[in-house]
Amino acid sequence: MSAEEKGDAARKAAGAKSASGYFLDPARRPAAALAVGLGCLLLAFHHAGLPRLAPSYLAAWTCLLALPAGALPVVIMIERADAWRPQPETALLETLRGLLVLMPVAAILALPIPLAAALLYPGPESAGPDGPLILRAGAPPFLAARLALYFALWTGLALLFARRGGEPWAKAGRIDDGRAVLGLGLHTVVGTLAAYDLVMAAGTDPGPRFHASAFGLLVLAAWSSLALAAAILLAPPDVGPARRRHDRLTPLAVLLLVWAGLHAVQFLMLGAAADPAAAAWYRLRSSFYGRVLALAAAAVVALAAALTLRPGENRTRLVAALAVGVHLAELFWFVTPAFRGGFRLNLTDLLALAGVTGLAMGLAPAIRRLVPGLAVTPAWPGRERVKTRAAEGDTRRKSVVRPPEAF
Amino acid sequence: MSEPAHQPVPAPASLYGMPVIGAGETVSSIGAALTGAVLAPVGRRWRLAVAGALALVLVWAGLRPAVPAALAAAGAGWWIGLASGCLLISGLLLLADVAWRCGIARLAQTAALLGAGLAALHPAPLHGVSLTALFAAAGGLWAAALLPDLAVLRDRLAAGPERRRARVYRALSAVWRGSAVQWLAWERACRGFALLGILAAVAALIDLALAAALHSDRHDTLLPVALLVEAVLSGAGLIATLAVALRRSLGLDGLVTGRHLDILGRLILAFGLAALYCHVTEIVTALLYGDAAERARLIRRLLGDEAPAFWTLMLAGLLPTQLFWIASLRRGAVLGLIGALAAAGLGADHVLAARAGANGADLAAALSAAIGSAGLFVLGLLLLFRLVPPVSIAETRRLALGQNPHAAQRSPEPGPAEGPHPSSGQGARPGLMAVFASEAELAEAVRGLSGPDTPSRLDAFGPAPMPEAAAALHARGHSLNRVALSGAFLGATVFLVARAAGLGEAVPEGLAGMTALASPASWPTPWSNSWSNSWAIASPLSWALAAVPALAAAVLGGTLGLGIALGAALARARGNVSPALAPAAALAGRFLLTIEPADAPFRPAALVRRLETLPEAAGRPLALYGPSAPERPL
Repeated sequence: MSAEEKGDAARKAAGAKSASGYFLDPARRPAAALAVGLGCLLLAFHHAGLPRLAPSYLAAWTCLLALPAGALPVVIMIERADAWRPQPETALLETLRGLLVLMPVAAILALPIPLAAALLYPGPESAGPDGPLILRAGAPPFLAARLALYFALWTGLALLFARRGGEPWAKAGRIDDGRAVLGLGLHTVVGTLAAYDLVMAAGTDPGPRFHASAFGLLVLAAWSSLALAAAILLAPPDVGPARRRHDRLTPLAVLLLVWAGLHAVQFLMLGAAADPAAAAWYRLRSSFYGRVLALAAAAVVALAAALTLRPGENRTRLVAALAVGVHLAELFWFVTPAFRGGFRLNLTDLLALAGVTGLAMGLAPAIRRLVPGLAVTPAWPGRERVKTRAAEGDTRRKSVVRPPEAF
Repeated sequence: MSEPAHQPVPAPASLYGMPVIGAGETVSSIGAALTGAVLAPVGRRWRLAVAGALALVLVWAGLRPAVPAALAAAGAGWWIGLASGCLLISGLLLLADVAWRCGIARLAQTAALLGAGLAALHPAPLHGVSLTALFAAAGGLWAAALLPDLAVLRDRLAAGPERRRARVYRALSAVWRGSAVQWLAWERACRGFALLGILAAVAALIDLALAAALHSDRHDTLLPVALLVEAVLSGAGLIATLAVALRRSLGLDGLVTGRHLDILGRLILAFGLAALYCHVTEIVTALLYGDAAERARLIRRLLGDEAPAFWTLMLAGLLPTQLFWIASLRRGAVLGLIGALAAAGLGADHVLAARAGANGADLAAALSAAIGSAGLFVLGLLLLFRLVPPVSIAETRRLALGQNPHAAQRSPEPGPAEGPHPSSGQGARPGLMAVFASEAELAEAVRGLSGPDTPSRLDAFGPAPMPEAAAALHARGHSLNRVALSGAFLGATVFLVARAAGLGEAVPEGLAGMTALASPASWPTPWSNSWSNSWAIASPLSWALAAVPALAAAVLGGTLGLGIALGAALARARGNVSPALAPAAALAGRFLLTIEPADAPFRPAALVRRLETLPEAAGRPLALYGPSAPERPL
């Protein structure tokens, strides 16, 4: 028995004797996360009741969806950019591909949304003769059918682009321009419609309905920015000499600037239009905490832009952490004010976010086993688990691209 | 032992195959071809083209008064879109440091400058500051990128008979000597101008969209995005047309290659899809999420009086771009035709944005005026490309040096016998000048000579940017960014102060009232029910609408600041080439190292011995000139 195996055995023996050790055992971690997630949701249900939990759950679920749906276009873009560069990005790209496994998880966790549609979206009866046509298709079965279509397409795209990364470049080839454009185009269309259906339409008040055609693009930009920031926090630094390391801050700063620009443009255009529905929508979201969030977002964007002049690993991680915080709050800012008369994060929101996170962590390993095409190991030097599995001859997981310096 | 699972990553270039520069292109052939395109006598075809363009200009001048104001504003929007698109493409390629950009960058920059100028000749619907900033940024980038090429033309004309023309180029490029520090400053300035150009283009397009939203009932929030995407699409179409024409007329196939055309075709295809996304999303949103009034507006656009403009946009501007899924169409004359069709057809969206409902006669007059203004654009191109090279000499030389193994001039030339350097006005000084075939060899020589015991001052000169040599010389670039940022801050401040003063006159309490209104504490209840009235010009919320022109003013200030900083930096870094050692044509296109006495005693013979002992192709010069030098090739 090697020293490492002895250590593992000792840890297991110790873990069996304490609660923390029991739950931190990697083999039991998914079940523990699942239990914690369910517990948080039950607590939120007990604390707030279903009508108040439903918006919080929807907002928390959009935070989860943002990771795979936001990672998808970034994966395609980085891989296309790599075609022009002598040293391809490795760890960050693999981390983003690792996020794609959350797509089926988000699909499973979307099941409660059509079931709670009456609490989240206006019914067909509120359409009226002159109202929006979409309200006539707002019944739960139609919503469930649309969601099923979106996730079927998204999962297909995730499978396609995750599989590419699971094989060595020379064997798999790169994503060509045509496939990249089609992938991006399909994702943009699906994402736009999903953002309209799930986020923009949220709210049950009768009367004028807020709608903005740039809203889909805005939500897509927010998702991508959140996914990239999260991947930057999760991925280890690039190996190799400092001068050859990739600058990860500039892409994040560009995405943040695009996202902030879309917010500003939407605000200005709706302001120029003096649309009463838009005025009501913004009025709900411009409470004290809403303004604080707007100022914080502007500060993060300015900081990201300024730090591109002096990029560094710690600075990049600082900006990424701030961006994750701002985007998570923003996704709640989109959804919850329509049900509360203003924007304010509360305990139910936090419990819903913890619950969805726990459920996602619990379901992800099972999805990896069920859908091998998505099981791209986010591997990089220093992750001993991967090495151990490879040494054991684990063929379920695909090999990963090693950094060029390793050859 | 199992076989390794991973294979080395193939070089990205092999994925594409086609080269971005002709295999036979060298430093000297590039200089000869591009200066020849400028200095060659005008031909019959050029005269005919100028005559045709002049006829169109006359048509435009005659029809201008007959065009209704709304349609004239749409014409301005079209030119702003073209200028912004060209500026965005040029700026983004430069900032991304895309090596092959040299084939199309000058075309894009020249088209941007002319487009912005033509927009200024129309009644533009956007803020004057935005249009001025667009013109200034386009001009700044064009002029800065041109500077080394003007010096090449200056050197080429120095010994020729065209003295008047030579004087012009000498005056325009007086400060340029091609030293490593100058190249460093030039590269930084070009990147700065590129960033400012992108900001100016974005500000102009958003301002255009806001003007459309304020003065018409088109309030679609995707309109700014659609205008941005269509600007890039129309810019790419225009550049593709110009590139095809340039290859045909001047035979520059080795510099503007099939690969460039292919990339432009892909760009048009991708942005055509993006523009289609914007319009289809707009339709879907209005149809599914809009109320009855919005659906009625949509029907008016698809089937009513706006239908001609809408279907022109679709059938000429957007749908033909999807033909570029067929690879063979991206590489021939079809690219130029579809590019021109897209660039022209996208003007219809500006007619839609201006809500310029007009009768048939008005539309015919506007269309004729648009064709006439295109004649003015062509005339400007024809004249400008008789003065400056249509492709950047400096950047193309850099690309050739990187791509073609034999691009550098390896054979040494005879000693300086053709007179002093045309731009130098200094007296003769003792010193040495070493000639190298490449920047890498020059950098090796610098490293070989550098040290605490070297009693000399080293400087490097070359036909292309020399980052490696600059690093070996420990050359530090001048701080251009600070001056540009100060200019930007000043520009935005001046604009906001002027706006506050203007609003102060409109408020009964004057400027004191404005100060109180600007305080968030005095704002009304957030998003009150009277929000529809809160965007009036005198409202504090109109500060939001001032943000875009303020950004444009910052760009304007930044452009001026960067221009001044670049001029000062180049003047400071002129370098020291002794006239007796710096022949004009003989050493053009080579990498030179000048060694001049510093404070300590200068021993040229020792330096010559030191250089001669360096390994061949790793620091040993091709030739040496000066006291104690062999005065012959080594």
